[in-house]
Amino acid sequence: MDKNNSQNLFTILRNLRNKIASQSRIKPFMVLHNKVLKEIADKKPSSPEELSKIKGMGQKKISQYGSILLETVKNFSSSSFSINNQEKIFSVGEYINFLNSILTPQRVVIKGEIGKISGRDNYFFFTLRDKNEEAILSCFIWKKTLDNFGVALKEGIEIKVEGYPEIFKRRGSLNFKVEHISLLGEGFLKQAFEALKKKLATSGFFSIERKKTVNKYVRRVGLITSNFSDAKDDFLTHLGKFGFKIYFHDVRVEGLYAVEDIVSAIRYFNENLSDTQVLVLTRGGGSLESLQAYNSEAIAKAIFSSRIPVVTGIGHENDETIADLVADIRASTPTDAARVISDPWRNARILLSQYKDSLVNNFFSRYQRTKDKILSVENFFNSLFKKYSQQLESIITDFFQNSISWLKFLQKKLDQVEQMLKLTDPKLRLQQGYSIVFNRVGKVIKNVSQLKIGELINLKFYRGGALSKVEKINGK
Amino acid sequence: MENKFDFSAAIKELEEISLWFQNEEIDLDEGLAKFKKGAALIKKCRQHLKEVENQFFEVKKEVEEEKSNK
Repeated sequence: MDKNNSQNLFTILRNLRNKIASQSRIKPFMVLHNKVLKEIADKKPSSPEELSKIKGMGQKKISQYGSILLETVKNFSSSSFSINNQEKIFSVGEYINFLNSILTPQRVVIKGEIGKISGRDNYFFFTLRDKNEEAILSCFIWKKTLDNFGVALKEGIEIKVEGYPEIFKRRGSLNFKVEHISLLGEGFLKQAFEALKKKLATSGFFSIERKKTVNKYVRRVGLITSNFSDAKDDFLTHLGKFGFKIYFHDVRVEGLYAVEDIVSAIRYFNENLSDTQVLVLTRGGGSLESLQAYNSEAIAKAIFSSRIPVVTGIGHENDETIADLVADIRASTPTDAARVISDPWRNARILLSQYKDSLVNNFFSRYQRTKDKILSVENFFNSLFKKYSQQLESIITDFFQNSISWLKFLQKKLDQVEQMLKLTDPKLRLQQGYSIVFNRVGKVIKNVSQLKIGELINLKFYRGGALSKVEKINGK
Repeated sequence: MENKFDFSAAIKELEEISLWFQNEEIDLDEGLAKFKKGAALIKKCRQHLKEVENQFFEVKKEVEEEKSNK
């Protein structure tokens, strides 16, 4: 009895712990370890002092969770104390509280077919029918939970729910409070998929303009998948060694908790590792049912509102999930996602060598052109020199010709003058019989006025001469 | 010094002298002086042209050596 008692309290404490964890968006063990919860359940502390004696309950944990833990223990003790006391008369409320303290820890997964549905704006009641026998369970679900899992309630569809039983005080009826819900059966899943796809398409979740661009060359990659999975191995194997820094975040990739895990992983990266350049959401192939988490509205919204671009590689080649449609880049498989991320680096090697070749080619063709240009300039100068020297030579030739012909001209002139002189040579006259008369000082007498009677004059003949005396002067 | 030599002026002067000889001048002394002057100009012009040509090929050689050293 006492052991059962402790076990029940442990279950209650564990539920409480899980609730706190999910509200604070941290892992349950980060709130309190199971071992600590077990000890609390065994010892049932009633004061902070007693609580502090339990290993793992430090000052910080007590200040954070002390009061609620003590209250839970107290509530449990008072109700369980009551059952042992047959004398105790319960009020109705007390009794329902007592029952609920036993019922609510009974967390289970149930499958069934949806029967009648009724509801208000933000919650629904529905019955879950057994397919094989006449048995029904009334269920309660918040509308928010439904939306998160992307399930639309419809009579006749087969679902799987997780939650716990609880008696509603005001009605006195037992309801199963649904915390996780998913569809069963391919047909229903497909219908739900198409419905959500249509809804999100209308809201612009898939529009190309809203897609974030993924850097061509990324280094910091956030990997969201299940640890020890083929998907993780495939992705990492095909990524290649390009200096990637992988931030791995372990999540459940199917089952009732997958949606929650993946949504909080995406949020975690955006809030705590915002320098991550791309998030890779990946998992291996499976049935439509096993991929269901990736078809939820909650994940669609998380991808849509992520500031870090998201690449999906979910399932096999032909699997299409809502997550794929919302993703900024959709790869077909984990391997393909690795290629999407690493191909630019791989191609960069090829591009680099192409650039190198074209660089060298361009350089040489330009070099050749320049060389040709220089050559043509050289030729131009060569011809210029030739021209100059030809010009010079022709001037020089002219110069010598002119000067020589000038000398010849002078010679001719001289000859002419000589000829002329020859004609006027006095010797020629003397030969002809003329004589020249000089006075005593050798001056030629051309006029009688130059003479005096008795003056001695010299006569010059062709050959020889004579000294004469003027005896008579005729005329004037 | 070579830089001061005006090739085109020298050519022009040479041409003028050449023309002078075509006029029927008979001053022999002047003719001789002009002939001597012309001969000197010819020598200088040839020298100058050769020098420029040499310099040109020297520069070209330098450029080519620089290229092959790279």
